[in-house]
Amino acid sequence: MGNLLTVLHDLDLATKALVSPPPYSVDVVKFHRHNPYLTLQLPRILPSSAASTSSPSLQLHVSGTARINYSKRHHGKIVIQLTSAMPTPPSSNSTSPGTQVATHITKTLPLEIWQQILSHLYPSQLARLCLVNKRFFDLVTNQPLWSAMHHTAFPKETLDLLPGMPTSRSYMLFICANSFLICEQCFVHRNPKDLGRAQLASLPLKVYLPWASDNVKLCPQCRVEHYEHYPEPVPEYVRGSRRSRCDIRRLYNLDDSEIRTLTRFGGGWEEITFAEEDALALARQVYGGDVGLAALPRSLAKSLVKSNNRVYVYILRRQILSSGSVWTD
Amino acid sequence: MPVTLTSLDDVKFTVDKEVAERSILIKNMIEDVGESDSPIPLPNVSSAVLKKVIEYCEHHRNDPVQVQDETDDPRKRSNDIEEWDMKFMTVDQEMLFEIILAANYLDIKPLLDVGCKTVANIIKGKTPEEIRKVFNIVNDFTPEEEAQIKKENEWAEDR
Repeated sequence: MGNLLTVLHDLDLATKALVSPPPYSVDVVKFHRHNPYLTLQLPRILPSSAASTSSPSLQLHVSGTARINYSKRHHGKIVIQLTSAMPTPPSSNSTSPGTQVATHITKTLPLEIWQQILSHLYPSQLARLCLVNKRFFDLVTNQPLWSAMHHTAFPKETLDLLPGMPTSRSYMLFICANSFLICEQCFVHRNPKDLGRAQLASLPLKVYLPWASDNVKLCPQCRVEHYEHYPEPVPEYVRGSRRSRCDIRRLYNLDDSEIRTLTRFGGGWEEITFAEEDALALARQVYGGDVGLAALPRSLAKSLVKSNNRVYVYILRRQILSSGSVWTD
Repeated sequence: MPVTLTSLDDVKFTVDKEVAERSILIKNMIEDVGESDSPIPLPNVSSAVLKKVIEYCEHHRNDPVQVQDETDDPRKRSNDIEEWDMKFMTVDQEMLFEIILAANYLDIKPLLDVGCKTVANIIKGKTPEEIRKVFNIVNDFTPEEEAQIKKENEWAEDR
């Protein structure tokens, strides 16, 4: 079911030029609207007399549902651009279905539908999407998500908007500047001065979410909730293993009141040990999964400095823009 | 009780009233017009797309009318597409977008929902370059613009 491009040559009757054999049919089965260029090699014309100066005219005829957009001769070749199926109605704003989809995909669907599509994406995915092109950038920055996130993350604060740009863009910039401290699921913002003993583990960390097909940064509470539905496996070496208090403190960062809740063995003259399986389960609860545990020894100083800088840049930008100057980074 | 629908390109489709009324637009039109044999014109939907939409409505004719839970997080619901729907939505991009537009016009919320989830699922897990490839989009940012946006809008990337 391809489109048939038939190249008809007018024979120059005066010269009886040999063209063998017209018409040329090219099956355009591989034609796809995303690759609409077709190049044909012109057959060599053998003039029967030296006096012949006319070149054969070419008629291009395409059957099927394609149409020829333009054709151009170039160095013995002819380049033809085909265009796809259905005729385009005069309106360029194709909000009506079933008509030509030659416009950019972000224009083929109305804004509300794009909003519905993008409502299925997490902030980090949207942040990546806005890099695709200017249209997607506009779509993403206009999502109501960013102001909603600000409302949850900073409930008592009103944002100092950046002058000279849409409100939504200010929200997006501010939220992204604070993204190190904001959970992608619940939008809660963590005060960097108030991280407790868990330090980095109390901040959003990457968890693979199957429904997002992606790693998404979740705060400890959201991680715990996630692992309730998708429990982490218990490694073999932990099952049945017993550890001293000292080991438990070191390996799982649990304090004495927490260790007291674990199943204990021994007593009297025997060394007291604790079930490692219990310790692992508790530590996963306290620190939000293995990813939280793994984050415990890691320093967050550098990341925190970078995060603070980003927020500072936003504030500075606002000051500069408000004073009427131009912002250059 | 059959109902006849006429597409943009004048093709007639006869379906059961129950199937046609999966579209709230058609349902309202039937209510407004009352008992009538005349076909319902759908000048915004081509026959190819209408055929697909009818196929969807036939398959889902007995579904209970959905009550959308507004408090439900759409991001968590985006993978719950049933197998038949997933196969049904395996079409080329042009058709996918046209189905979405038709579902919007005809007011068939479950179909619109599935369509939107399908597009979202295409976007998920992809880098900007991969997304460009899939939708055949040209990057119209200058390298400086791209670097600036990346810097400003990066989501908490740490080492």
